[in-house]
Amino acid sequence: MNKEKRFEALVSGHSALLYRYAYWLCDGHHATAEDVVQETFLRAWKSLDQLQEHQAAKAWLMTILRRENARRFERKQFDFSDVELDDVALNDGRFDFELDSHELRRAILRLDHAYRDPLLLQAIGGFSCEEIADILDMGKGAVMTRVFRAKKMLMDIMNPQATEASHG
Amino acid sequence: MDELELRRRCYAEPSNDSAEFRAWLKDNPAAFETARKAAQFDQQLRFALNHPTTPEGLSGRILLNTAMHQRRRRRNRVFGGLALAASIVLSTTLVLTPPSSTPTELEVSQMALTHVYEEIAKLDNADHPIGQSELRGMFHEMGGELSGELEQVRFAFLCPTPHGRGLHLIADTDEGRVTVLYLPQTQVDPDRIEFADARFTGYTMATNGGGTLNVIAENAAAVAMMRKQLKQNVSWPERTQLSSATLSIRPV
Repeated sequence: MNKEKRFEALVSGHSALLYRYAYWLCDGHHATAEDVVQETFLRAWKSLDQLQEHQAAKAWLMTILRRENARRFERKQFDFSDVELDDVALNDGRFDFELDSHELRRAILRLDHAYRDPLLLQAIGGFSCEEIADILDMGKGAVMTRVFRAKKMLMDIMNPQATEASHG
Repeated sequence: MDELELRRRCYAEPSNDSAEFRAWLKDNPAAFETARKAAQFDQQLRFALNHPTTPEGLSGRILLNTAMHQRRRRRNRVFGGLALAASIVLSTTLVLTPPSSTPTELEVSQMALTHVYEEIAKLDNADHPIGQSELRGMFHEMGGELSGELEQVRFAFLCPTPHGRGLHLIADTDEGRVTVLYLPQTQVDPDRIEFADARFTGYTMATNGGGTLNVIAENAAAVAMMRKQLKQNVSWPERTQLSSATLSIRPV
Protein backbone atom coordinates (compact mmCIF):
# COMPACT_ATOMS: atom_id res chain seq x y z
CA MET A 1 0.00 0.00 0.00
CA ASN A 2 1.50 3.38 -0.93
CA LYS A 3 1.76 6.31 1.43
CA GLU A 4 -1.37 8.04 0.16
CA LYS A 5 -3.54 4.95 0.54
CA ARG A 6 -2.19 4.32 4.03
CA PHE A 7 -2.96 7.89 4.97
CA GLU A 8 -6.47 7.73 3.54
CA ALA A 9 -7.11 4.58 5.54
CA LEU A 10 -5.91 6.35 8.69
CA VAL A 11 -8.16 9.33 8.06
CA SER A 12 -11.25 7.31 7.28
CA GLY A 13 -10.63 4.93 10.18
CA HIS A 14 -9.72 7.37 12.92
CA SER A 15 -10.85 10.93 12.16
CA ALA A 16 -14.21 10.59 13.94
CA LEU A 17 -12.64 9.18 17.09
CA LEU A 18 -9.87 11.79 17.07
CA TYR A 19 -12.39 14.58 16.62
CA ARG A 20 -14.34 13.40 19.64
CA TYR A 21 -11.16 13.10 21.67
CA ALA A 22 -10.03 16.58 20.59
CA TYR A 23 -13.43 18.05 21.38
CA TRP A 24 -13.22 16.90 25.00
CA LEU A 25 -9.55 17.81 25.32
CA CYS A 26 -10.31 21.29 23.97
CA ASP A 27 -12.99 21.95 26.55
CA GLY A 28 -15.90 21.41 24.17
CA HIS A 29 -14.73 23.86 21.51
CA HIS A 30 -15.72 22.60 18.05
CA ALA A 31 -13.55 24.82 15.85
CA THR A 32 -10.43 24.27 17.96
CA ALA A 33 -11.09 20.54 17.97
CA GLU A 34 -11.18 20.48 14.18
CA ASP A 35 -8.01 22.57 13.97
CA VAL A 36 -6.21 20.21 16.31
CA VAL A 37 -7.39 17.19 14.30
CA GLN A 38 -6.23 18.83 11.05
CA GLU A 39 -2.81 19.56 12.54
CA THR A 40 -2.62 16.05 13.94
CA PHE A 41 -3.16 14.47 10.55
CA LEU A 42 -0.77 16.89 8.89
CA ARG A 43 1.92 15.84 11.34
CA ALA A 44 0.93 12.20 10.91
CA TRP A 45 1.37 12.56 7.15
CA LYS A 46 4.85 13.99 7.60
CA SER A 47 5.88 11.18 9.95
CA LEU A 48 3.92 8.33 8.45
CA ASP A 49 7.07 6.31 7.91
CA GLN A 50 7.45 6.08 11.68
CA LEU A 51 4.22 4.11 11.97
CA GLN A 52 5.34 0.54 11.51
CA GLU A 53 2.32 -1.40 12.70
CA HIS A 54 -1.21 -0.69 11.61
CA GLN A 55 -2.54 -1.86 14.99
CA ALA A 56 -0.60 0.89 16.73
CA ALA A 57 -2.19 3.65 14.64
CA LYS A 58 -4.85 4.71 17.11
CA ALA A 59 -2.43 5.17 20.02
CA TRP A 60 0.08 6.86 17.71
CA LEU A 61 -2.48 9.35 16.42
CA MET A 62 -3.87 10.09 19.86
CA THR A 63 -0.36 10.76 21.13
CA ILE A 64 0.25 13.17 18.26
CA LEU A 65 -3.06 14.86 18.99
CA ARG A 66 -2.20 15.36 22.64
CA ARG A 67 1.12 16.91 21.64
CA GLU A 68 -0.52 19.16 19.06
CA ASN A 69 -3.00 20.30 21.66
CA ALA A 70 -0.21 21.00 24.12
CA ARG A 71 1.68 22.94 21.44
CA ARG A 72 -1.31 25.18 20.93
CA PHE A 73 -1.31 25.98 24.59
CA GLU A 74 2.36 26.82 24.40
CA ARG A 75 1.69 29.19 21.53
CA LYS A 76 -1.38 30.81 22.90
CA GLN A 77 -3.59 30.35 25.85
CA PHE A 78 -7.03 30.12 24.36
CA ASP A 79 -9.80 32.15 25.75
CA PHE A 80 -12.60 29.72 26.23
CA SER A 81 -14.86 32.23 27.90
CA ASP A 82 -17.07 32.19 24.83
CA VAL A 83 -17.58 28.46 24.98
CA GLU A 84 -21.16 27.84 25.76
CA LEU A 85 -21.63 24.78 27.81
CA ASP A 86 -25.12 24.52 26.38
CA ASP A 87 -23.32 23.51 23.25
CA VAL A 88 -22.74 20.24 25.05
CA ALA A 89 -26.23 19.46 24.05
CA LEU A 90 -28.57 16.69 24.90
CA ASN A 91 -28.12 13.74 22.65
CA ASP A 92 -30.98 11.88 21.04
CA GLY A 93 -33.41 10.15 23.33
CA ARG A 94 -32.33 6.57 22.81
CA PHE A 95 -31.54 6.07 26.46
CA ASP A 96 -33.32 6.88 29.64
CA PHE A 97 -30.39 8.68 31.12
CA GLU A 98 -29.99 11.49 28.61
CA LEU A 99 -30.59 14.12 31.27
CA ASP A 100 -27.84 12.60 33.36
CA SER A 101 -25.62 12.54 30.28
CA HIS A 102 -26.11 16.26 29.85
CA GLU A 103 -25.00 16.87 33.41
CA LEU A 104 -22.22 14.35 33.06
CA ARG A 105 -20.84 16.17 30.02
CA ARG A 106 -20.75 19.41 31.94
CA ALA A 107 -19.04 17.62 34.81
CA ILE A 108 -16.40 16.11 32.50
CA LEU A 109 -15.49 19.57 31.24
CA ARG A 110 -14.97 20.66 34.84
CA LEU A 111 -12.41 17.94 35.48
CA ASP A 112 -8.80 18.98 35.67
CA HIS A 113 -6.85 17.83 32.62
CA ALA A 114 -4.62 15.63 34.75
CA TYR A 115 -7.69 13.50 35.45
CA ARG A 116 -9.61 14.13 32.25
CA ASP A 117 -6.85 12.95 29.88
CA PRO A 118 -6.54 9.36 31.15
CA LEU A 119 -10.30 9.11 31.49
CA LEU A 120 -10.78 10.14 27.85
CA LEU A 121 -8.14 7.71 26.68
CA GLN A 122 -9.99 4.93 28.47
CA ALA A 123 -13.59 5.88 27.65
CA ILE A 124 -13.08 7.18 24.09
CA GLY A 125 -9.88 5.44 23.04
CA GLY A 126 -10.74 2.14 24.69
CA PHE A 127 -7.20 1.75 26.02
CA SER A 128 -6.25 -0.30 29.05
CA CYS A 129 -4.49 1.36 31.99
CA GLU A 130 -1.24 -0.15 30.82
CA GLU A 131 -1.64 1.33 27.33
CA ILE A 132 -2.63 4.70 28.80
CA ALA A 133 0.47 4.58 30.95
CA ASP A 134 2.58 4.18 27.80
CA ILE A 135 0.81 7.02 26.02
CA LEU A 136 1.04 9.40 28.97
CA ASP A 137 4.49 8.21 29.92
CA MET A 138 3.60 7.48 33.53
CA GLY A 139 3.22 4.42 35.72
CA LYS A 140 0.21 2.12 35.48
CA GLY A 141 -0.55 2.67 39.16
CA ALA A 142 -0.69 6.43 38.66
CA VAL A 143 -3.05 5.99 35.70
CA MET A 144 -5.34 3.75 37.74
CA THR A 145 -5.40 6.27 40.54
CA ARG A 146 -6.23 9.13 38.18
CA VAL A 147 -8.97 7.26 36.36
CA PHE A 148 -10.45 6.12 39.64
CA ARG A 149 -10.35 9.65 41.07
CA ALA A 150 -11.77 11.12 37.87
CA LYS A 151 -14.76 8.81 38.06
CA LYS A 152 -15.17 9.45 41.74
CA MET A 153 -15.16 13.21 41.14
CA LEU A 154 -17.74 12.84 38.40
CA MET A 155 -19.96 10.76 40.63
CA ASP A 156 -19.56 13.30 43.41
CA ILE A 157 -20.62 16.08 41.07
CA MET A 158 -23.52 14.04 39.74
CA ASN A 159 -24.73 12.80 43.07
CA PRO A 160 -23.01 14.54 45.96
CA GLN A 161 -25.14 12.90 48.64
CA ALA A 162 -24.51 9.29 47.93
CA THR A 163 -21.83 8.14 45.59
CA GLU A 164 -20.84 4.59 45.57
CA ALA A 165 -17.15 5.31 45.28
CA SER A 166 -17.02 8.37 47.48
CA HIS A 167 -15.83 6.37 50.42
CA GLY A 168 -12.72 5.36 48.50
CA MET B 1 -9.37 -8.16 48.21
CA ASP B 2 -10.39 -5.26 50.44
CA GLU B 3 -13.10 -2.79 49.57
CA LEU B 4 -10.81 -0.03 48.34
CA GLU B 5 -8.92 -2.42 46.11
CA LEU B 6 -12.21 -3.73 44.75
CA ARG B 7 -13.48 -0.25 43.93
CA ARG B 8 -10.18 0.76 42.40
CA ARG B 9 -10.23 -2.30 40.21
CA CYS B 10 -13.88 -1.96 39.15
CA TYR B 11 -13.71 1.77 38.39
CA ALA B 12 -10.16 2.14 37.13
CA GLU B 13 -9.96 -1.01 35.06
CA PRO B 14 -13.43 -1.94 33.89
CA SER B 15 -12.00 -3.90 30.95
CA ASN B 16 -9.94 -6.12 33.22
CA ASP B 17 -12.59 -8.79 33.58
CA SER B 18 -10.75 -12.04 34.24
CA ALA B 19 -12.56 -15.34 34.79
CA GLU B 20 -11.00 -15.57 38.22
CA PHE B 21 -12.36 -12.14 39.19
CA ARG B 22 -15.84 -12.99 37.85
CA ALA B 23 -15.85 -16.21 39.87
CA TRP B 24 -14.84 -14.29 42.98
CA LEU B 25 -17.65 -11.78 42.42
CA LYS B 26 -20.16 -14.60 42.17
CA ASP B 27 -19.37 -15.62 45.73
CA ASN B 28 -19.47 -12.04 47.05
CA PRO B 29 -22.87 -10.40 46.50
CA ALA B 30 -21.79 -7.01 47.91
CA ALA B 31 -18.75 -6.93 45.66
CA PHE B 32 -20.90 -8.02 42.74
CA GLU B 33 -23.18 -5.03 43.36
CA THR B 34 -20.17 -2.68 43.41
CA ALA B 35 -18.95 -4.13 40.12
CA ARG B 36 -22.43 -3.80 38.60
CA LYS B 37 -22.67 -0.13 39.59
CA ALA B 38 -19.20 0.57 38.23
CA ALA B 39 -20.11 -1.05 34.91
CA GLN B 40 -23.34 0.94 34.77
CA PHE B 41 -21.47 4.20 35.41
CA ASP B 42 -18.95 3.29 32.74
CA GLN B 43 -21.72 2.70 30.24
CA GLN B 44 -23.20 6.09 31.08
CA LEU B 45 -19.79 7.72 30.76
CA ARG B 46 -19.18 6.20 27.33
CA PHE B 47 -22.61 7.33 26.19
CA ALA B 48 -21.95 10.89 27.40
CA LEU B 49 -18.57 10.97 25.66
CA ASN B 50 -19.97 9.59 22.43
CA HIS B 51 -20.60 13.20 21.51
CA PRO B 52 -20.45 15.28 19.41
CA THR B 53 -21.11 13.79 16.03
CA THR B 54 -18.27 14.30 13.58
CA PRO B 55 -18.65 17.41 11.43
CA GLU B 56 -19.82 16.60 7.94
CA GLY B 57 -17.01 16.36 5.42
CA LEU B 58 -14.20 16.27 8.01
CA SER B 59 -12.31 13.42 6.30
CA GLY B 60 -12.46 15.22 2.98
CA ARG B 61 -11.18 18.45 4.50
CA ILE B 62 -8.31 16.63 6.20
CA LEU B 63 -7.21 14.98 2.95
CA LEU B 64 -7.55 18.22 1.02
CA ASN B 65 -5.65 20.18 3.66
CA THR B 66 -2.82 17.66 3.57
CA ALA B 67 -2.67 17.69 -0.21
CA MET B 68 -2.70 21.51 -0.30
CA HIS B 69 0.08 21.59 2.27
CA GLN B 70 2.23 19.29 0.12
CA ARG B 71 1.60 21.45 -2.89
CA ARG B 72 2.50 24.62 -1.00
CA ARG B 73 5.72 23.01 0.18
CA ARG B 74 6.68 21.94 -3.33
CA ARG B 75 5.88 25.38 -4.69
CA ASN B 76 7.86 27.06 -1.93
CA ARG B 77 10.82 24.77 -2.62
CA VAL B 78 10.77 25.66 -6.30
CA PHE B 79 10.33 29.36 -5.62
CA GLY B 80 12.97 29.21 -2.90
CA GLY B 81 15.54 27.74 -5.28
CA LEU B 82 14.77 30.31 -7.92
CA ALA B 83 14.98 33.10 -5.43
CA LEU B 84 18.53 32.17 -4.58
CA ALA B 85 19.54 32.59 -8.18
CA ALA B 86 17.36 35.47 -9.11
CA SER B 87 17.28 39.10 -8.21
CA ILE B 88 15.15 41.12 -5.87
CA VAL B 89 12.46 41.27 -8.55
CA LEU B 90 11.67 37.64 -8.02
CA SER B 91 11.70 38.11 -4.27
CA THR B 92 9.10 40.82 -4.71
CA THR B 93 7.02 38.43 -6.78
CA LEU B 94 7.21 35.88 -4.02
CA VAL B 95 6.10 38.37 -1.43
CA LEU B 96 3.21 39.38 -3.62
CA THR B 97 2.11 35.81 -4.26
CA PRO B 98 -1.34 35.63 -2.71
CA PRO B 99 -1.56 33.31 0.26
CA SER B 100 -3.51 30.12 -0.18
CA SER B 101 -7.16 30.28 0.58
CA THR B 102 -8.35 29.62 4.06
CA PRO B 103 -11.10 27.06 4.62
CA THR B 104 -13.60 29.84 5.21
CA GLU B 105 -13.30 30.99 1.59
CA LEU B 106 -14.25 27.70 0.03
CA GLU B 107 -14.03 28.12 -3.71
CA VAL B 108 -15.53 25.95 -6.42
CA SER B 109 -12.20 24.19 -6.92
CA GLN B 110 -11.90 23.45 -3.21
CA MET B 111 -15.50 22.29 -3.04
CA ALA B 112 -14.77 19.92 -5.89
CA LEU B 113 -11.52 18.60 -4.43
CA THR B 114 -13.09 18.18 -1.00
CA HIS B 115 -15.87 16.13 -2.52
CA VAL B 116 -13.38 13.94 -4.34
CA TYR B 117 -11.49 13.34 -1.10
CA GLU B 118 -14.67 12.64 0.82
CA GLU B 119 -15.47 9.90 -1.66
CA ILE B 120 -11.87 8.88 -2.28
CA ALA B 121 -12.55 5.15 -1.85
CA LYS B 122 -14.90 5.29 -4.84
CA LEU B 123 -11.99 6.17 -7.11
CA ASP B 124 -10.57 2.70 -6.54
CA ASN B 125 -13.79 0.77 -6.12
CA ALA B 126 -15.99 2.14 -8.88
CA ASP B 127 -16.49 -0.70 -11.35
CA HIS B 128 -20.15 -0.70 -12.25
CA PRO B 129 -20.79 0.24 -15.89
CA ILE B 130 -23.41 3.00 -16.08
CA GLY B 131 -25.82 3.01 -19.01
CA GLN B 132 -26.29 6.03 -21.25
CA SER B 133 -30.01 6.36 -20.50
CA GLU B 134 -29.28 6.56 -16.79
CA LEU B 135 -26.65 9.22 -17.46
CA ARG B 136 -29.02 11.14 -19.70
CA GLY B 137 -31.57 11.21 -16.88
CA MET B 138 -29.00 12.45 -14.41
CA PHE B 139 -27.71 15.22 -16.64
CA HIS B 140 -31.30 16.18 -17.37
CA GLU B 141 -31.92 16.52 -13.64
CA MET B 142 -28.97 18.93 -13.45
CA GLY B 143 -30.35 20.98 -16.34
CA GLY B 144 -28.06 19.55 -19.01
CA GLU B 145 -28.57 17.41 -22.09
CA LEU B 146 -26.41 14.42 -22.87
CA SER B 147 -26.78 14.11 -26.62
CA GLY B 148 -23.88 11.77 -27.39
CA GLU B 149 -22.27 9.11 -25.26
CA LEU B 150 -19.98 9.34 -22.25
CA GLU B 151 -17.77 6.30 -22.41
CA GLN B 152 -16.72 4.00 -19.60
CA VAL B 153 -18.57 5.68 -16.77
CA ARG B 154 -18.10 3.43 -13.72
CA PHE B 155 -19.94 5.35 -11.04
CA ALA B 156 -22.80 7.85 -11.12
CA PHE B 157 -24.61 9.32 -8.17
CA LEU B 158 -26.66 12.38 -7.33
CA CYS B 159 -24.71 13.55 -4.30
CA PRO B 160 -25.45 16.19 -1.68
CA THR B 161 -23.16 19.20 -2.21
CA PRO B 162 -22.90 22.51 -0.31
CA HIS B 163 -25.62 24.11 -2.46
CA GLY B 164 -27.90 21.22 -3.25
CA ARG B 165 -27.89 17.96 -5.09
CA GLY B 166 -25.08 17.60 -7.59
CA LEU B 167 -23.85 14.95 -9.97
CA HIS B 168 -20.81 12.79 -9.30
CA LEU B 169 -19.39 10.60 -12.08
CA ILE B 170 -16.27 8.47 -12.22
CA ALA B 171 -15.12 7.36 -15.64
CA ASP B 172 -12.13 5.63 -17.15
CA THR B 173 -10.16 7.22 -19.97
CA ASP B 174 -7.06 6.05 -21.80
CA GLU B 175 -5.11 8.45 -19.60
CA GLY B 176 -6.57 7.25 -16.31
CA ARG B 177 -9.57 7.60 -14.05
CA VAL B 178 -11.48 10.88 -14.01
CA THR B 179 -14.06 12.40 -11.70
CA VAL B 180 -16.75 14.70 -13.05
CA LEU B 181 -18.66 16.82 -10.58
CA TYR B 182 -21.60 19.06 -11.29
CA LEU B 183 -21.85 21.54 -8.42
CA PRO B 184 -25.13 23.45 -8.45
CA GLN B 185 -25.30 27.16 -7.67
CA THR B 186 -21.63 27.77 -8.25
CA GLN B 187 -19.95 29.85 -10.93
CA VAL B 188 -16.66 29.64 -12.71
CA ASP B 189 -13.96 31.53 -10.88
CA PRO B 190 -11.97 33.16 -13.72
CA ASP B 191 -8.78 33.01 -11.63
CA ARG B 192 -9.14 29.32 -10.88
CA ILE B 193 -10.43 27.63 -14.01
CA GLU B 194 -7.52 25.27 -13.71
CA PHE B 195 -6.59 24.07 -10.27
CA ALA B 196 -4.45 21.45 -8.59
CA ASP B 197 -3.25 20.14 -5.30
CA ALA B 198 -0.41 17.73 -4.63
CA ARG B 199 -2.35 14.82 -6.09
CA PHE B 200 -5.09 16.01 -8.39
CA THR B 201 -5.45 18.45 -11.20
CA GLY B 202 -8.77 19.88 -12.24
CA TYR B 203 -10.69 22.16 -14.55
CA THR B 204 -13.92 24.05 -13.99
CA MET B 205 -16.31 24.34 -16.94
CA ALA B 206 -19.21 26.75 -17.18
CA THR B 207 -22.70 25.42 -17.87
CA ASN B 208 -25.80 27.54 -18.20
CA GLY B 209 -25.25 29.64 -15.10
CA GLY B 210 -26.92 27.20 -12.78
CA GLY B 211 -23.75 25.43 -11.72
CA THR B 212 -20.29 24.32 -12.81
CA LEU B 213 -18.93 21.11 -14.21
CA ASN B 214 -15.61 20.16 -12.62
CA VAL B 215 -13.28 17.59 -14.10
CA ILE B 216 -10.63 16.16 -11.77
CA ALA B 217 -7.97 13.51 -12.28
CA GLU B 218 -4.47 12.60 -11.25
CA ASN B 219 -3.06 13.72 -14.57
CA ALA B 220 -3.83 16.62 -16.83
CA ALA B 221 -4.16 14.48 -19.96
CA ALA B 222 -7.08 12.57 -18.45
CA VAL B 223 -8.74 15.85 -17.53
CA ALA B 224 -8.29 17.10 -21.09
CA MET B 225 -9.77 13.90 -22.55
CA MET B 226 -12.84 14.10 -20.37
CA ARG B 227 -13.27 17.82 -21.01
CA LYS B 228 -13.31 17.06 -24.72
CA GLN B 229 -15.94 14.33 -24.25
CA LEU B 230 -18.11 16.60 -22.15
CA LYS B 231 -17.79 19.49 -24.57
CA GLN B 232 -18.80 17.30 -27.49
CA ASN B 233 -21.65 15.43 -25.82
CA VAL B 234 -23.23 17.59 -23.16
CA SER B 235 -25.08 20.80 -23.79
CA TRP B 236 -26.66 23.19 -21.35
CA PRO B 237 -29.86 24.78 -22.63
CA GLU B 238 -30.50 28.26 -21.32
CA ARG B 239 -32.62 28.12 -18.25
CA THR B 240 -36.04 29.66 -18.60
CA GLN B 241 -36.47 30.67 -15.00
CA LEU B 242 -33.42 32.33 -13.61
CA SER B 243 -33.58 33.47 -10.03
CA SER B 244 -31.27 36.03 -8.54
CA ALA B 245 -30.22 33.48 -5.93
CA THR B 246 -28.71 31.19 -8.51
CA LEU B 247 -27.00 33.94 -10.45
CA SER B 248 -24.62 35.01 -7.75
CA ILE B 249 -21.90 33.13 -6.00
CA ARG B 250 -23.17 32.30 -2.59
CA PRO B 251 -20.71 32.70 0.22
CA VAL B 252 -19.87 29.49 1.98
